[in-house]
Amino acid sequence: MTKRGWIVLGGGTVISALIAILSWASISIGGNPGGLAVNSDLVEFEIDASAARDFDLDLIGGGTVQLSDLRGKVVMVDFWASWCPPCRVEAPALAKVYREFQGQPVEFLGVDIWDNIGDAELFLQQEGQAYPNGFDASGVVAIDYGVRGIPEKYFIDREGILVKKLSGPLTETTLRNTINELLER
Amino acid sequence: MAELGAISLWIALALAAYSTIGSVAGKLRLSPALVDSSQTAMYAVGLALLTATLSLVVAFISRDFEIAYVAAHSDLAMPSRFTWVAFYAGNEGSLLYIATILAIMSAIAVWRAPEKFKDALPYTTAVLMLTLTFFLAVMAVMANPFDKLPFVPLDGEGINPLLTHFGMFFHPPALMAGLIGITVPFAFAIGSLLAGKTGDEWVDAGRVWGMVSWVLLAGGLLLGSWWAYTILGWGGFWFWDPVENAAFMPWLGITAFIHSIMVQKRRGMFRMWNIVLINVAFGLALYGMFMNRGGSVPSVHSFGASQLGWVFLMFLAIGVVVPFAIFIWRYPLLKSVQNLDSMLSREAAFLVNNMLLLAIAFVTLWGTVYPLISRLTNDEEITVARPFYDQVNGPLMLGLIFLMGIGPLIPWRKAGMATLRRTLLPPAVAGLATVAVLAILGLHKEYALLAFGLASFVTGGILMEWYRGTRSRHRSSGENYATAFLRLIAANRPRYGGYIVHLSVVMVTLGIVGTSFFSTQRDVVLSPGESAVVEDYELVFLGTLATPKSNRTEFESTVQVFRDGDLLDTIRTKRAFYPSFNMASTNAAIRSTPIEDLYIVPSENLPDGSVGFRILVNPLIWWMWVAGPVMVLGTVIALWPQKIRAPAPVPSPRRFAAGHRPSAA
Repeated sequence: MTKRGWIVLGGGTVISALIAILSWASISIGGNPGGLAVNSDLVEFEIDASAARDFDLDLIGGGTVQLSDLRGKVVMVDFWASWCPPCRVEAPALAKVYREFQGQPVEFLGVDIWDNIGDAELFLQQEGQAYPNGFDASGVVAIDYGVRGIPEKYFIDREGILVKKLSGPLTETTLRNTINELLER
Repeated sequence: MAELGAISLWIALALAAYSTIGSVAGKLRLSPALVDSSQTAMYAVGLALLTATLSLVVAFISRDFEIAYVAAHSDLAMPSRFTWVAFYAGNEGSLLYIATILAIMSAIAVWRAPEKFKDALPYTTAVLMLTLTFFLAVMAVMANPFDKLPFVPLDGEGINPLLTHFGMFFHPPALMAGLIGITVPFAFAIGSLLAGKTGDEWVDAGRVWGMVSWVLLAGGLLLGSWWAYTILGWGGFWFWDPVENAAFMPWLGITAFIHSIMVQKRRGMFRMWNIVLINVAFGLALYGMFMNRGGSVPSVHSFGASQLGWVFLMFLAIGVVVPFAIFIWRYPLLKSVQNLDSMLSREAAFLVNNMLLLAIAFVTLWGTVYPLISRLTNDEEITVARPFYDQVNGPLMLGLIFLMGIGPLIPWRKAGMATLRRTLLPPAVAGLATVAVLAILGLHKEYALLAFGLASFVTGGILMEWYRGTRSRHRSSGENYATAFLRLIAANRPRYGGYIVHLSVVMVTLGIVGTSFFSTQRDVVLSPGESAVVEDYELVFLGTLATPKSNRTEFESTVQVFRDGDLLDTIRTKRAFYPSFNMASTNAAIRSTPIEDLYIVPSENLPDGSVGFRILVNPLIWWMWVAGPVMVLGTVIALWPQKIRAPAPVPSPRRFAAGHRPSAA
C-alpha cells in the first residue's frame, strides 16, 4: 500500500471511531441532563407529606444502602454532583452538621447524579464527607424524587415520611434547625 | 426590535449562502464579477449581523420581554451593565455572538489577505461563509434569539447569578471568539489546498490569525481559572472538567500550529504537517463547541438540555471528514522544499514541541472519551479524574518547558557544539543553581524542584538573549541601555514578543507548581476575639458588623492577620444574605502577594456571633494571574505590523560554520 493509502486508513479509522463513540454516547445518554441545572438559591418547596419512595444504591467506595433500612432515623437525602459549584460551597457545612449529630438517630445520604464517578470520588475525598454517598448512574432515583436541579435535599422523618424539600445551598444553621425540628416530632 | 433582528438574521443567512456558492462558482467559471460580488456579500453579512446584535442589545436594554430570550435571561431588577453577559448567557444569544464574531473576523481577514494569496481567496471566503451559514441556519431554524412569546410577561426570569461576576464579562466571550477564530487560519489552509496552491502563500495569514485565536483562548482559559478561584470559594482554579478540557485541547493544537508555521515561514518545511495541525486544531475546536451545546458529558459549562447536540455532532463530523478528504486529494502536491538537516536544530526542537503538545491534547481527549468507551465495554463508567491528568500530562508539560528553554536558543538548520555551549551553558547553570539552592533550603519534592529548575533555565535563556542583544546594540550604535533594549524588541517583534509570551508561561508554571505542591487548607469556627494559626499566619477574628441594605443584610467580618507578632493587614470578608430569596452570597478575602495568597472565605455566620471560615494558603498563585496581561502584551508585540522588511529566509543548503550566531526567529 502507498503512503497515501496508509494515511487514509489510519486517519479514517481514528476519525470514524471518534465520531462513532460520540454518537453512541449522545444516544445512550439521551441528550444532556445537566446543563445549568444548578440551584444557586435556597428555596423551600411545599410538598405533600407521603411515604418516601424506597431505593437502593451502590455506595461510592463499596457496599450498598437501602433507604428503608434507615427507618427510625431522620434522613436527609442530598442530590449533588462534583461539578456543581454550590454543592462544593455547602460541603463543609454538611460535613460539620453530620458530625454534630453523631450518636443521634440522624443519617445523611448523598446521591451523586449527572456526574462522572471518578470526579465524584475525588470530590468526596477532598471534602472528607463521612456519611454514605451513592452513585445514581442511570438517574432513576433522581427521576423518582423529581429532582429539578442540584443541590436539592429531601428530608424524611423517623417514620419514613417525606416531609420537606429544600433546593439550593444550605447553611449550617438551616440544616441544623431542620433536623432538630424533625427529631422533635 | 424582534422584527428587525429576525429579518437581519434571515438576510445574513441568505447573503452568507450566496457568498459561499458565488465564490466557488465565480472561481470555477472564471467570473471575476461573481467573485467580487460574493466578497461584497460577505461584508454585507457582517453589517446584517451587527444589526441583529444591536437589535438584541436594544431589546435587552428596553427589557422587551415579548422576546423569549430576553425574558429568559434578564429581569427588571438586572443592572444594565449585565446586558453584555445576558447577551450570551443562553444558547441562542451565544450563537448570535459567535456568528457576529466570525463575520467580523472573516471580513477583516479577507480584506487584509496578502496579494500573493488572491488566487486562492475565493475558496477561503467560501469556507468561512459556509461555516457561518451553518451557524445562521441553526439560529434561524432551531434557536432563534428573536422568537417571541405568545404573551408579554410582566417580568423576566433574571440572569443566572453565577454569571454576575466581573470575570464573566470576558471569560466566555474570549473563549467563544478563540474557538471560532480557528476557522480563519483553517479557511486559509483549506483555501490554498482547494486552489492547488500548496506552497507557502497562506502562511502569513495563517500565522497572524492563529496567534489571534491563541491569545483569545489563552486569555479565556486564564480568566475562567481566575473566576473559579475568586468566586467559587474552594481555593482551586482548574477542575479538568470536560468542557475546560474541550477549550484546552484546541489551545494545545493552535499552540503547536503557531510554532510549526514559523518553520514553514522561514525554511519552507513542514508544509504537510502544518495543514494537518490546523485541521486538528479546527477539529478540536468543533469538538469543544459540540461539548458546550448538548455534548454527552454533564458539566457546569453546558447550555442545558437542547436538541442542538446532534446538529453540532454532524457539524463536527463534516468539519473533520471533508477537510481530511481534501487533504488526501492534494497529498501528492504537498512536498516540503527542504528536509530536516539535523536533530540539533531549531526545526527539530519545534517538531518535538509539536509532538509533546499533541501528546498532551491526546491524553486529555482520551481522558474525556475514555469514560464513554468504558461504559460501552462493561456497562460501568470509569472516569478519569485529576490524578490521571496530573500524572500523565505533568511530565509532558515539564518536557515542553524544557524545550521552551532550548528552542529559541539553538540555530536553524544545524547547531555546532561550540554554539550549543555558548548559548545553553549560562541558562543551564542558572537552572542547576536554582535546584541546588532550593534543595539546600530544604525543598525535597522532586517534581517541584525540577519545575523550578526548568523555570529558571527558560528565564535565564531569555534574559541572556536580551542582555546580549542590548549590549551589542549599545556597543555598535552607542545607544544607552534602555533605548537599546526597546529598539532591540522593536527590531524583531515576532522573536522578542515570543520571548515575553514564554516568560508568561513560566509565570503560569510557577502558579501551578506552587498551588499543586505547597498549598494548605483549614476550616475553623471562630468567636469574636478568638484566633487561629495557619502556616505562619496568626488570624484574629475581631467581629462581624451587620449592615442592613435595601434587599439584603451584609455581614462584614474583620480579621487581623499577624506574622511573627507584627500586624500585616486587616482584611474584611463579606457575606450577604438576601431574605427575600433566602439566599446568601460570599466574597472571598484574598491577601495576595507574589510569594503566597492568604485566602479566607466565610462559610457561615452563626447566631452566637461566631463565624465559620475556610482558610487557604496558596503559594505563588499571584504569578498566574499576572501572567495574563504579560501574555497579551507579548502577543501584541509579536503581531504588531513591522514596516521594515521581514527577516530574510534562511539561505538554502550551505552549512554554516560551527559557532555561527543563531539567526533571528
